[in-house]
Amino acid sequence: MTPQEYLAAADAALAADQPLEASRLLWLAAEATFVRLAKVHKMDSADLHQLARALDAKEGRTVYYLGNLGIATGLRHNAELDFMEPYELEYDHESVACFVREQA
Amino acid sequence: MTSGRAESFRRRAAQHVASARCYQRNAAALRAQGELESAGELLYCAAKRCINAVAGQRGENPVRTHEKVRSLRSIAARSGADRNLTNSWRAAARLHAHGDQSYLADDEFAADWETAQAFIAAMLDIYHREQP
Repeated sequence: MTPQEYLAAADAALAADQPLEASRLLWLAAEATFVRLAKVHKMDSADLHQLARALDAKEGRTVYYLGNLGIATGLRHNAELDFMEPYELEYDHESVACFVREQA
Repeated sequence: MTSGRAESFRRRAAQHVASARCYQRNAAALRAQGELESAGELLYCAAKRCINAVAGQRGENPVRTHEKVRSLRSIAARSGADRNLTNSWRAAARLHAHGDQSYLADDEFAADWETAQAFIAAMLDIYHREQP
């Protein structure tokens, strides 16, 4: 699946009141985006944190990629642990959607 | 809000900055001792104080977490910061959740620590730029 397809599936999961499944799909959308970015920039995607730091350094940005990866990682954990408040999930959903669209 | 209360919040803003720096220093010391969960909690406290410092300059006093988040969004919009500022606040919030749930792997904790530190630096920069 593409990042956009994962995003659409996450939207559908949220609409169906399945926040944990939506969290998992949002993580997959972000992960697929980072893997695609690694291919575009001819970088290694084995360690996504190192990749995010390398992308920030390459573009002269401060924790843009690292911050977005952190949000996605939080969602992956939320899919398993269910600790996020609804407003937090809403914000992180918006952030992943923005990130995926910006990097499409 | 009365102008007297707003003025009181403005005066208190400098105290919030001092507290934020103190929390930040203590967080670093705890992290150096390997006390990661407590360190993360203190860095979260530092990040919250930064929000109150900048909000206080505007004569506001966000108390509850959702009020701080609302203030932060307003600060980000006013200062011309992009979504990066509010995204980096989320790292501080994850460190707080980690203190309760202990769910972050070492590399994830390090990434959120770095991002939360960037949030604090950005907020202190806004605070100093907006000094009357």
